[in-house]
Amino acid sequence: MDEDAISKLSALDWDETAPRLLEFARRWAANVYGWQQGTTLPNGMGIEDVAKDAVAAFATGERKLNPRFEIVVQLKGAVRSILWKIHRKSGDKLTSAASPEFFDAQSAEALDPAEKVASEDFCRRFIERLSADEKITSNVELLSTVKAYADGAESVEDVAEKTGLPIRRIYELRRQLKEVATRVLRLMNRKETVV
Amino acid sequence: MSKNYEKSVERLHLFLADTEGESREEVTRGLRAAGVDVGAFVADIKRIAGVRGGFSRIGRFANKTREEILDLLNECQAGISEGLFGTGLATREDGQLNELSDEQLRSLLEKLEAQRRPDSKG
Repeated sequence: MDEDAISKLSALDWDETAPRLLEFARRWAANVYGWQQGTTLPNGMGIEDVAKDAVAAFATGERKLNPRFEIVVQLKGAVRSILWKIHRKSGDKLTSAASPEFFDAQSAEALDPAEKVASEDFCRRFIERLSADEKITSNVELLSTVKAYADGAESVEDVAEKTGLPIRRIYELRRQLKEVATRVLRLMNRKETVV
Repeated sequence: MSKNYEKSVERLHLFLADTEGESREEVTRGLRAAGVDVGAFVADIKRIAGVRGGFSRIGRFANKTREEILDLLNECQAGISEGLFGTGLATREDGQLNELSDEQLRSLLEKLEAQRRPDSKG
């Protein structure tokens, strides 16, 4: 047990944080790995188990909290890391676009150079296809948001600055953008699986 | 300068998966609609965040009412004897405890819990 981590974790407002962490895990699994509601992950785990394991990883000392980052950011990183490892072990090619670099910089399981090139290529094609999707090109707000991320926006605030859109509006666009991104990603993976 | 597409996609996915901009009620409602027992999940997470390190009670203090904290303090006081006197805190009478803020009461409870911890099963 990591008592320092436990002390910090126990100070979090879990009534607020836990549902958000779970929803993040559900969305990340769905958006990045094509997970669908009502199904388990390739190793038989449920999404709720992933969120619980993420918290347990810090509580047990398996993962160390980094004082430079917010705890919630690190919990999300742990969720991404767990999902990545589950899919990587399952041999799912979708993981090529989902390396949790932030969290796993210290991990020995980083991508090898060939995987890195493949992942970069996959991401380039994803951005290109997303930008060319009819639903995106027909909506100037969605298009400018995608372009802002393609041009290096790091946060919603950055997107707002690059696009001139109010932050509240960018959040409103999220659902539409998610639907298109999920469809494009699913299509890409289906094609690559066939190939 | 060449684009870092991996980073771009990563940040886009982080935006799409984030719940920032949505209220807790909206998030919780969505989870319930998906069949998640949110209450049970939150309780499990709290247990994981608290119990495993021996801070079984501290994790719950944030949501305790003032009366509940006072009850726990009395319970702690009954469970610990000598060690508390060293803190100078256990000698407070109820009237004095009532003069403390909620935050001070939680802090006191944490100190008492820390005293109990070596003997506590948590």
